[in-house]
Amino acid sequence: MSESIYAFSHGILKRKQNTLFFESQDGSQRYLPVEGVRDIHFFGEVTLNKEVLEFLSQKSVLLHFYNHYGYYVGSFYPREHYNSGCLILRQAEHYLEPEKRLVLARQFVRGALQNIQAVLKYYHRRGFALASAIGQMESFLCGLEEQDTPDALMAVEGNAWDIYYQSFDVILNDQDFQMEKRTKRPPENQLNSLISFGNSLLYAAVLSEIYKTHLDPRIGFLHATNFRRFSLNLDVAEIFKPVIVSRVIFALVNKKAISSREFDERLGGLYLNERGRKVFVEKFEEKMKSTVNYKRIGRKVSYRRLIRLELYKIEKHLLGEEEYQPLLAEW
Amino acid sequence: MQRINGTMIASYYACKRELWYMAHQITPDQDNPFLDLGRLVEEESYQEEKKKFLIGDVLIDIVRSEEGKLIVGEIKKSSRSKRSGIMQLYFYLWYLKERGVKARGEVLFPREKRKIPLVLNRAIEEELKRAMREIELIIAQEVPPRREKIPLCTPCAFRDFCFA
Repeated sequence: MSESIYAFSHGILKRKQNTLFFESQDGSQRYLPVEGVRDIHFFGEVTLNKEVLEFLSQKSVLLHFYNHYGYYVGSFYPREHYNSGCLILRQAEHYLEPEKRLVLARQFVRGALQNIQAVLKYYHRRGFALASAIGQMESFLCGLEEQDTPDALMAVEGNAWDIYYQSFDVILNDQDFQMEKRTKRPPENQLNSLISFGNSLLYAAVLSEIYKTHLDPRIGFLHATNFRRFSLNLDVAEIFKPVIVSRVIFALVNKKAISSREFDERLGGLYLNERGRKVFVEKFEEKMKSTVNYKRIGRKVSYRRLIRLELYKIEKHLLGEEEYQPLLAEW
Repeated sequence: MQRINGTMIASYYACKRELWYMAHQITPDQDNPFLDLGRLVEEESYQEEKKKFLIGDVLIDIVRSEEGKLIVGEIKKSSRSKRSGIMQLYFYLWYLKERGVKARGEVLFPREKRKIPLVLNRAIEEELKRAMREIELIIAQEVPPRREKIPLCTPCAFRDFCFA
């Protein structure tokens, strides 16, 4: 089984004999058996040479980079080894034809809203006052068919996220972790910072899964394609934010695994410090590896695998085989 | 129109849906452990022999001669897909015959210490021609053939794709 590696310290990544070797600034050295590495996430500074990039390309290992604040910066996406002209053409066709694009864009928003609603209902059953937020999601969902442009869908989705994030204050009820309103760049409080960081990790994780399919990550349907950066991973991540990121945050805050000591103030924003990121990443990975039952396949699959299965469903939709229905995480 | 190859013949007899996907370069999940196992079996067996012969358009696992007669072999992980392995090798024999090379075949199951000897005959040739005509029709279809749950689904690397 391949693993995601998260590197927090500064250092040099090298090819050594036939494997990977990370030498960090503080002198510690670590071999990373290349066959068991899916991707490496760099939070600290890293020095690389072309030799190691060639090696990583050959071994199909992705690199994801995050800046000083923990924001996703970009990826090293090796030249594709899964390639199907037929599928690329179908993906482009579904982008270029407005009706087809709208079908997919709407499903991504539907998936996000349904899963937001599922989280809200879960807490509602446990006595939290979320009836009005649930009702609002319902009316957004009912109105989705009327939205006839990706921008209009994005706007509805934006409103839904606002309401959802505001209900974090009901669910968490923690003085130190108040939402009030969603702020990005910079996140103005701790909770916003957690959301931004979690979303960054999710975008990269979805991208790593896209790499293992025949889909082109540059062609998104809800998030407009500009062919310079990845956008399909942003589309698919929408569905998984409530399923993965929110639940990681609730677990961390409710179990008091994270506190104001794990944040630093920088440039008018509050950001997770290295200790905080480590705690978050650990919980995130634990979530990605945990499993749920998947009826149609007849076995348990991990959350990471759920992302891959979602991508397979999209491929089948593009091939005209089976209409895409987003995952509904009812558990 | 792409040329029909041995893998396509094997897929045709195993699963027509797999055939459509393979022909459209939609390859299965490379993380599937059964694929690694298959490659390992192919690599680790018959190590003393030369392997992988590209003859025209076809890639043959093993070629050897016995008393001046040519024998071509196809290595298979298990006899679960016996029929598709047999038809794949018959296809190679037919392909060689079309080019004036007479050969016999052996489907090899090294893990089961078994082999199935094959000699091409008229009936098989007719069957192959029929299959090739149908293969062309299948891969020309707009959408892949419907999913069916068959015993071969269990170790198949397309399984999660089909059932997601």
